[in-house]
Amino acid sequence: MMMQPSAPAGDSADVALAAAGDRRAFERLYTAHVNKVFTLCTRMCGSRVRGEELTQDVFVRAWEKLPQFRGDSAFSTWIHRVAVNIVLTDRKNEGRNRRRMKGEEDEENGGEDIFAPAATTPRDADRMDLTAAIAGLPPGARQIFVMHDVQGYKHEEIAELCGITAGGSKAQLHRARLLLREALTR
Amino acid sequence: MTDRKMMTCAQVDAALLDYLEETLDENVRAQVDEHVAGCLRCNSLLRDIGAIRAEAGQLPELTPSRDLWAGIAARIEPTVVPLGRSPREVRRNWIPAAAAAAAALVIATAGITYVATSWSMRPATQRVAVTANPKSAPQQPAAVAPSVAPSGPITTEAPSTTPSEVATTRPAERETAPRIQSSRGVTLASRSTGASASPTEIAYDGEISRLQNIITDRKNQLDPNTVLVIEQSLKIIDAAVRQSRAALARDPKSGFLTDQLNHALDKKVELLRTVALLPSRT
Repeated sequence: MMMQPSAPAGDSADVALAAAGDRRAFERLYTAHVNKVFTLCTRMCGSRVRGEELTQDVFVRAWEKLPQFRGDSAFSTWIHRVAVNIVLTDRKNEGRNRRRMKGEEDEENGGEDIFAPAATTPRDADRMDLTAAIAGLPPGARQIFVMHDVQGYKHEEIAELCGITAGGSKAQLHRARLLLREALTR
Repeated sequence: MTDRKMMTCAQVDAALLDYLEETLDENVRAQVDEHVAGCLRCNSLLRDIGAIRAEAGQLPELTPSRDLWAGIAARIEPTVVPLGRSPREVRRNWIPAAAAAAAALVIATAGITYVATSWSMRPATQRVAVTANPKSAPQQPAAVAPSVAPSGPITTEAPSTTPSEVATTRPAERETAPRIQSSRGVTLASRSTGASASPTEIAYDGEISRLQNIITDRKNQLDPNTVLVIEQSLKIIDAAVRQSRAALARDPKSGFLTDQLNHALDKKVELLRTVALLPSRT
């Protein structure tokens, strides 16, 4: 729909090489996809610091699972799925997430976070507002909003990934949009 | 807030998601359009959510603040895997495996040992009778004295477990083991000071002790050349046992060393068992 990952040219050769253990090829894949993966992780978890950690986890997992990648979909689609799974699994650690929601971790790391206002132009300022508002959503609503409205996943895909129904995904999305509207028009 | 004929604000709210995803029936969609066109509240809601959706789809890509590859590369670096099983696997598996091996060993040899021990404890007259039975283990009749004396006793590294410890397993041996030990001059090589025996080692030691007693009883019935070969083999195995125990004393948690020790003890038991059942010299 919107930002469904696209496959950079030359991925397939590097995917095959990396699956056979070529770390150079895997590094090239990393270079091609790191920003998209980092963006997804950061928007879904609401923290740049944690987003970086999760991005590393995603690529380590991808390296481990790459030999099982059959190439039915583009590598970019596959690694995005890996990323979503990593973030969702991470969320299961409730205690850590609770701390993160309170911003304790961000304070410990010098406040480096997407909550921090850093925009200079009015347009950027608007975007940062939305970014900050997304980060301020409850985790469940945030993840589904990011997956649907930012990444372009369908409700059926979200339902499968999150272990919920498509109706549940729609309800969370609607809730997220209303909360965002409220935050942005406050 | 305005109530239209066909649709209320609440009904629009309920249909909003499908409206935005364009999955509404054309009729219903027309009703929503009609309501929104005349309702400020719903018009504003639809416009705001549409703007959020549009903006969310165009959010800029983020870039990590640091190079993440170094951390990834360190984690996917191939690790040096020792030949054979991994140390973790060895550590995890050696205790039950060794215990199972020891149990199997004890079960397998207990019968043999019992038969041989019974034989060695019988009076000479009974031994003759046993020898006369063709189905029994072949033994030299007691009445026939050996023509060539063995070069010496079969001296092996005796188990560190004391005879009394071994004797706790079987009442019959509780009485015989110390006697045999004291009268035969078998050289004892004790375990390294401070090293404690594992249940597996105690099981091995008990079996070795019993087998050694049988062999010492039988040494005069064996061919001297065979005895020499056996002694040489036992020396080699005992050296391996000593080295393994010494290494284990330095690294008591090493599963590999434990495996090595158990392997050496296993070999020793196997050899002693074979010797215990060797036919007498003809």
